[in-house]
Amino acid sequence: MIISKSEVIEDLKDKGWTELKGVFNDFDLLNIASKLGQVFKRNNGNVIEILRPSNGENSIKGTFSNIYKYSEFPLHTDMAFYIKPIRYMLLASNERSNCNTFLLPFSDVFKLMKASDKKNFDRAIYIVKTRAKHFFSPLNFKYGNEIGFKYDSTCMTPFNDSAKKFDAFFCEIQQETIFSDVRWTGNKLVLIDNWSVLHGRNSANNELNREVKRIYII
Amino acid sequence: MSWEREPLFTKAKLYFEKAYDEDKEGPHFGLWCAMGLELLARSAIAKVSPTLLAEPDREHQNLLHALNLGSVKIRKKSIAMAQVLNLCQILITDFTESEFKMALAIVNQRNEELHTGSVAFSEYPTQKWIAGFYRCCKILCEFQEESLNSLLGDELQREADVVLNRTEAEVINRTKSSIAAHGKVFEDKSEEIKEHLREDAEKNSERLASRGHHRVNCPACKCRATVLGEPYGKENVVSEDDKVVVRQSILPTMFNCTACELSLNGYSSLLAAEIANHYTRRIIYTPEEYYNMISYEEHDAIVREYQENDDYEDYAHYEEWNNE
Repeated sequence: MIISKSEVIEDLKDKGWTELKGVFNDFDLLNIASKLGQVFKRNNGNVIEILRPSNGENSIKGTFSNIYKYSEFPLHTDMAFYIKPIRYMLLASNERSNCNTFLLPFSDVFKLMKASDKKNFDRAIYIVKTRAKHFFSPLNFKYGNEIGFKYDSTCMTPFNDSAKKFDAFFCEIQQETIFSDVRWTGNKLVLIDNWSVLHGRNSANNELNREVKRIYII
Repeated sequence: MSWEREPLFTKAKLYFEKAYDEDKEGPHFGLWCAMGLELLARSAIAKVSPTLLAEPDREHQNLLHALNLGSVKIRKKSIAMAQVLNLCQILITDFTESEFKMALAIVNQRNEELHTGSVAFSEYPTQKWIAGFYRCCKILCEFQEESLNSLLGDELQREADVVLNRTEAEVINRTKSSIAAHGKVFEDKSEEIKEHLREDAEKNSERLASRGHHRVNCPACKCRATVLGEPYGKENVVSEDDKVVVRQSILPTMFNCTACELSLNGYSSLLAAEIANHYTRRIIYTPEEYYNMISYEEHDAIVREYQENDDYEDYAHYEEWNNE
């Protein structure tokens, strides 16, 4: 299958994610992913991961599956425990599922901010805790001329007042904001700009067989 | 331990936040500022490479930690603050000797506060160091593509700007007054003496130019004078047939005029006098000089001198301690 890199990049820049329809095999997925950057190889050597709902019993402590099990996964940035999280994320499924992925661009969050919220966002400092190390992190990071944003309540603990206030604000807006849904209607692929769009997953209690493939792009 | 730039910069932000929660004349304001400054300087060095923060060791254990490849069993050790500031002076053009001294003075107070029973920052009032502190912060931020705003936030950045502008205005006033005073004294001299001083200044500047000084016109008497400065950036070395030419960028920090005796110190004073253009120092070496080689002509004389002065007794144990 042929896709135009410029079209995809344009869409990613415009709204932070893009959807493609079609039957995708692993070769297609890797081909598309590699058009955006370098495909990330996990420690186990895999580049394509298959995500399945889990009761969390065998999951690593602190991961979303371990904490939320089959319940909804709240909005987050993938790999926020890196100073610079992975750049893009590809999710794909040829199967249908009623368990949606939902998205919220940071630009939508900014639109809801008053000056004081923006100030809190800029000054917020979190402690990022992983098994390997703990370090301080803001919500934004620079890479060349680009500025990225990250948030993940499972690994980022608000440390200063600004972070605590931002967390309260973010909690509040999540109750009132309508997210964009990615409906897994079969033969679908979604590319997400992980530096500008937060994502989450609906409850999988009734979708225990849901399977989504994921590729990280750095 | 994270030696990457971002966590260090974020922690510096946090420490400055703590500082400004304190009473500015109180003893802990200075302590938090000093610790924040240390983190800020380290983050600036990490911008070049986190490996520069690793204390050198034979097994490269600290270097491996800086590359996130270190063993968890081995404690990491970073370089001391004096060395960090020394690296700042080498790597950051605007971080001159004056910023080095100011930062070191603040760090020394921090050491006294932490290692002795005295209330170090009570004895070192804020007004003595705050302007230099903000100047260091500004330079260290800009080097890592940050700003006083991203470090301190809107309100404190405004305050820092006021302090920096006031200091700059003071330097400009002081420099302009000094230039005017020296200019007047020179003008009041007789034409004959002025001409004589002009000629001497011309000769003197020519002589100094061959020793790495850079010639400029004196802002007070317009005679030829020289500036001297601090090297920054990489040396550009070009080997030619019979010589080695070394070019080095220089940030001017000292000015002296022998005709009217105007003398200025510090980059900001030279900037106020409009004689702060960076320049390139060009030194020509013979290959023997540059590579520290011994020429045929010198060889015999050096051997003779060596044999005359050398006490072979000193080398009696040479074989012993050279034996690996």
